[in-house]
Amino acid sequence: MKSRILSIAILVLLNNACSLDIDPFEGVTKENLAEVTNALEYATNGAYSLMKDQLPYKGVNDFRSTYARNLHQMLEYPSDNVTLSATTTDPLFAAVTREHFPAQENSTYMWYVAYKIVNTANQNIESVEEGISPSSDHLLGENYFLRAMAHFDLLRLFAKPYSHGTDNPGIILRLNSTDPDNKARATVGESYEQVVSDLEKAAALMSRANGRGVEYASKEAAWALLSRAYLYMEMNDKAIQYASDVIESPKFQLVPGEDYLNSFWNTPSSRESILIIKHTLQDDRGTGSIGSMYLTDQIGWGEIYASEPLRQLLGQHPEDVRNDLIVPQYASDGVTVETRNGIPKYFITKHSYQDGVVTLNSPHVLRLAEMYLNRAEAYAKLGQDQLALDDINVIRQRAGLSGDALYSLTNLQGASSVLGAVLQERRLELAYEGHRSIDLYRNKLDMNRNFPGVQPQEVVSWQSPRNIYYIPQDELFTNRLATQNE
Amino acid sequence: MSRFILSLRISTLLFCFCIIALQGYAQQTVKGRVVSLLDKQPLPGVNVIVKGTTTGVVTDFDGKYSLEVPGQDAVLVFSFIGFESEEVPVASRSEINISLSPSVEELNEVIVVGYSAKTKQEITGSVVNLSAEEIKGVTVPNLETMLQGKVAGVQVTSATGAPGAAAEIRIRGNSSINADRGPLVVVDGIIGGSYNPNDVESVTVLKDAGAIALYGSRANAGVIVVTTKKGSTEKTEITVRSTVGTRQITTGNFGLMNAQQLYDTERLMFNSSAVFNGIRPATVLETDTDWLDLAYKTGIVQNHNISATGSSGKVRYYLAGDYYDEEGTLLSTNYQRLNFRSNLDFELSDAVRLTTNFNITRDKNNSYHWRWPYQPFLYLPYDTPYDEEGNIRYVDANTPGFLTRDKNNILHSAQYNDYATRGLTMNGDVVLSVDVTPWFSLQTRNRISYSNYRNDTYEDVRTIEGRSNSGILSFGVTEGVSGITTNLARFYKDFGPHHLNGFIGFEAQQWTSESAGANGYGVVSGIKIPGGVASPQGISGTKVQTSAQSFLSEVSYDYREKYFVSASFRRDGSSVFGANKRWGNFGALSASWLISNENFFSSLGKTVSLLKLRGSYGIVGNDNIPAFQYLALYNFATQYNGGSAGYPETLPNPDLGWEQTKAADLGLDITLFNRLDITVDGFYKDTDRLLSKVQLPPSQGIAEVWRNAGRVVNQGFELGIGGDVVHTQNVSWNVNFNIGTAQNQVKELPEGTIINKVYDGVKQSVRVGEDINSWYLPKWVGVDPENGDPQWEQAVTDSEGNVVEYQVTNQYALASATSSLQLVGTATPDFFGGLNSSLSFKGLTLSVSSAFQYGNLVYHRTREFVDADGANFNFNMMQLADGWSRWQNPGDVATHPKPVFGGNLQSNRPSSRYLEDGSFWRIRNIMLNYNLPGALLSKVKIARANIFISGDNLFTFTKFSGMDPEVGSFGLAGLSDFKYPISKQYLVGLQISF
Repeated sequence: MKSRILSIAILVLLNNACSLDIDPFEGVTKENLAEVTNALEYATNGAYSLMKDQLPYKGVNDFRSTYARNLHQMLEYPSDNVTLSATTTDPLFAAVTREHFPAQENSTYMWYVAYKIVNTANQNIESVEEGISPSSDHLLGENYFLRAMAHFDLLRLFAKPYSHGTDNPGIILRLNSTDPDNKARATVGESYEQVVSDLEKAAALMSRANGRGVEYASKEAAWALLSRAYLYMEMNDKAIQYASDVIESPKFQLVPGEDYLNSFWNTPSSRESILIIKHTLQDDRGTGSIGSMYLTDQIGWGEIYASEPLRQLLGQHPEDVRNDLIVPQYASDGVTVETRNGIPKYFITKHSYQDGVVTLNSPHVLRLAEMYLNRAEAYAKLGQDQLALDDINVIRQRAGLSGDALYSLTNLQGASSVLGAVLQERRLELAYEGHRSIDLYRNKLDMNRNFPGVQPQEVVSWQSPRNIYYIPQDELFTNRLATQNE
Repeated sequence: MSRFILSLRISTLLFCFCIIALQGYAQQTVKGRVVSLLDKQPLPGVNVIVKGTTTGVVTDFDGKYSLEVPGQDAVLVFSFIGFESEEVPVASRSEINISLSPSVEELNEVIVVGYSAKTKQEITGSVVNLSAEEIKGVTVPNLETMLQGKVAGVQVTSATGAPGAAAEIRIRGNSSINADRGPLVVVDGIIGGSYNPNDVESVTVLKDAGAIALYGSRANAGVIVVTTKKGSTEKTEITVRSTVGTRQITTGNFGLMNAQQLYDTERLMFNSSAVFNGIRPATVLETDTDWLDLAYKTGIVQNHNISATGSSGKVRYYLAGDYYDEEGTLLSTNYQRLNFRSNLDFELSDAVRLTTNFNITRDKNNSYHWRWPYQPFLYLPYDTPYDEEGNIRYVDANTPGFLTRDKNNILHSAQYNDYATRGLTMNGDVVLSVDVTPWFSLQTRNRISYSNYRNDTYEDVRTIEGRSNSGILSFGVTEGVSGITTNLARFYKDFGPHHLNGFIGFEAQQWTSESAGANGYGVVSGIKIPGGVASPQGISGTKVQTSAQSFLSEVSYDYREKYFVSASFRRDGSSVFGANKRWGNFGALSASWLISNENFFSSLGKTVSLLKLRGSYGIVGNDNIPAFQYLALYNFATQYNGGSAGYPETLPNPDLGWEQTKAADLGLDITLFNRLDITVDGFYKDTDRLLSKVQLPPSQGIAEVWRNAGRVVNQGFELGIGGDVVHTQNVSWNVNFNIGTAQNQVKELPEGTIINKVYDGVKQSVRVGEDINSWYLPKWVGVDPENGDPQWEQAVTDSEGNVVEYQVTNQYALASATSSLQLVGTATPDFFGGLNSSLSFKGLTLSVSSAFQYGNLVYHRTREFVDADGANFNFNMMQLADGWSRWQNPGDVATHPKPVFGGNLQSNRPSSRYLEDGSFWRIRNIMLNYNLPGALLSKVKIARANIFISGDNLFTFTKFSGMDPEVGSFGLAGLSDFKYPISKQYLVGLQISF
């Protein structure tokens, strides 16, 4: 009898112990996000961390790629600012040579992680209702910003510029985490509309009081990105307005010339930073960092150098502080610049030396100088030439130039138009920050790539289909409605 | 008859003589003759022993015996395979003649089939039972390896020769693509558990749905039921068994070049001898290092086991301690295991029995850096690991004169670095059975399992691995705790010729696993503890908990022991799935007809002792996926700007549920002449709702999710034949042969899905209408005799992209374009099986066990590196296998392209060039055993003793050019990559019982 009672007791006990409703220990569900203390903040942080983490794709780790690195390389390497000194098996080679293919690893990674940011932002937005508290709304606003930013980055890489026609295929707009797998690309026009509407929503939700620092999106970051988006859309009044909002904000100021290098090395403490992708010491990617391709200083590949035409342009004014970002590697005689495959080794230090660590850097997403340049370009397009030149002279003066070195209506410093002068200054200031190619092509200008390097020697037409990347093959395999770029 | 009388007379005479001679010793001699009750024919080979002693003899060819018994109280036990044993008190008799009746014992032999034990005749499913005797042979620390070649339809693969490594086991093919796994293991009636192979009493392999459906959601890959030894009711017996041997790697048909061979081959790669002499000055020939010989040494393997079995009052016990120590062949690797088992059975009352089983295992494994197993195959013979004084030297990229492409010296690293794992597992079982009435009983089976694994890596500052970080240390601890309870109510009732029995039960289970680990840089040489780390780096950890509940039942019925029907039903709930799909129903119906029990069959009874036709149909499941895949889960495992951060890793899928297999089996069991067993089975398994990792559009932000998608069919045929071919007094010869097939075909996949399984460029493609393991590669068409170029097929497509024809190309880029890839064979064998035999003469037994496999294609990936036609200059090369030739002059018809420095048109890239016939026949074990004569032993109070010599993996017959045609399915099934080679073992052993 005792044993019978015992066995019944065991049965009852274990029945209760083995409940089938087990909550996971390693994460939080979307449904619980709102209830767990600070979970929305951490989940929002997650979307930022996606920009610097090295993620596996389909179970395979890629110890090169991060969102920040791939975005940088895919935007900057096809330009005329930098030159690659030899072939490499790294898919960055396809970015340099523009010999793209649909299964290209860096573009597949970029596409996947950008949409991972979108998916994270979507799930965050779906998990919390608007209007619960100002701080919760602020975080919601950050998520709208992040979704817009990722969509915008995809537009820059995979769709033709807005100015080439709003009916061209844009990107797949993922606005719900429950979207069906098969979804077609929106037009370029629809895509940009979504980006600016998300950014305007973000700016409205975020308050200045709840800003979390330059490592996170803010009301001003939304304005800044709006100024860029409207500039690309050639809605110049709005571009000017949002740029001015940022410029007038007391939070930011251009750093003086003597702090110029440091403002790139230590972006977190720079007064000029609007939004950065923060890399802490744990996130030091070593040879996989952006800076590693540009610089060998004990560590680093150091295979990509400042291009000859850019060096010549900068060389016109040796006192220009922007020359200091370029560090020639001298041979032991101290005079001759060393070469690699015949290409002189002019290292670039814009993406290095955070806290003195060679390969550590937190790249800018947005910084104040771009706002002056955005506004200048918009003014130029509206025919307000003097206002345009005033803005670019602010940038030029900060770089240590004065007097005849400044732009005036009578001295455009070699440019043939005010817009040309703005673009020239934009090139100098925003070099190695991924702007150059897009700035030319959206303004329907060709790019001359006839300079020493492994890239094809050619003048690239603004209409070339290879100015953008192929939609990744994996998307076409699995999304029947997706269409390929020409 | 006259002979009988004659012998009787002689016996009588002898008897009288003995009485006279031996009276003083109170001994007497008994003799007689043993015949079969059925046909009155003499029975040779019958064991006649004096009960309770070790004294005994065997009847001769005429069925006669004669032996001394201690006195009139003695009882003789007559036993013979296939016959009922008889016990006869001697009393004052000097002659005892006896007729033995054919055994129903064998039919009534109880086989543990998991939740219940059934007699052989009752069983309606496809079940194979092996005794401890039948599985012994190879000396390994795991049971799976011992099962190789022993059971039809069971495929066992020892993929690696690393010490302590487990084998992969597959029953009736692979029915799943992404959720594939080995069979469910049930130890002593409870799911899961651990055991030492030396403690195993019997193993039952359950193959068809009729047998496995009771295990429901976890049984799709079959079930292996392990029963450990129990205390005997007879007097205490202590057995000591020791085995010691040596082990040495076997590299099969694979041979590396020596310095001269390599030099001569490399010379062919250059058009200009000046260039060649510049790269390879003749001085390289001054060194000829056999790196394989330096890295892989002879190891010692030893296994010592002591066990005690017996009873005391109402308690029966089996206690065993076991020590296994395997010295790895590779550098500093080794494996040690200590195991203790205590099995106690208490008869609390006539109606209540309690069993407690306890098993504890401690193991230690010194493993290796991933580079170690393969690097010796790549080092150039021109290089030496030693400095000028003959000491092992440090090598890195700056070492002058070290030519091998990989600049390191594993001999150096192995001196200082540790890659260790340690494990502790404990299982405690409590089983309580209560007979409530003669026809109704209750049983509760419970187990708590605990496991703890710890891995420690230490990379010394002096080595190439540790140098750049001033020494590296990392460790991780994983702790697992699980509990399971199974509670059964059984009944057994006869209604005249109708027999009915069955049970209902409830089972609940919970597993919890937690891990934690950390690593750091800056370690003082020899300080191998985490506290000695100067610069801590990462910290990691996980926790997972899952639970399951089941209701189960079975009813078996038979009529006059001729017609048997059994039905089982199980309802499983698992926390792995979402609330929508948490519960699944499984079950089977099976039936058998024991034709040999029919009256009309009795005339054939002498020849065909058993004839049984059986069939089954049932549904089983598979839940082998990580937990919580149905939830959209944020994983907070990352950080941003030093703050907590996480993002969703899955998309919600509340409909994710069981993978389901519907399986049918038709089988026939025949026993001839009471000593030859034949079993034939055909099976068909249809698995749908496959748990598949489905690739999503990357624009969903999630690359892959688990979904129920796809359908695969496995079908096959199995044949097992075994028995005594010869059985006489002195000689017996037993042969066991089995063969099985398991062919699979993908029937459905989600629309538009192509699942590619890729390992570094080598591809298998899962496609509708094809085998799961289909090789999908550029098709190699040989060497161009004109110029020695490699040649493949390139697809020519029409405007719509359809392939219209193939043409020959020497451009790998064209041959490897997606449209040019072709299905060039499968890694699934046509058939596999084993042949085992033992031949005994008096006390001497020679046994051989072997396993074979036929018709599978193995991708010999090692050749991409060492048979690369110059593409991997500065790696050593393999010698050409038999029948291979290298192109040298126009017109040469050769298997290998012209060797070219730097490679010949990517001839070493993945293609069907490296696909080889993986068929083999391997002699797994040869053992010569000698049972010492009982008469001799009884003088030193030893009950039994035997000595043996044994050899493992001595011969392998294969055409495969690699080290080993046996390849696992890690990464890709059928991919032969560099690995820790398996070993040949030579062993001697001794076993003594007293």
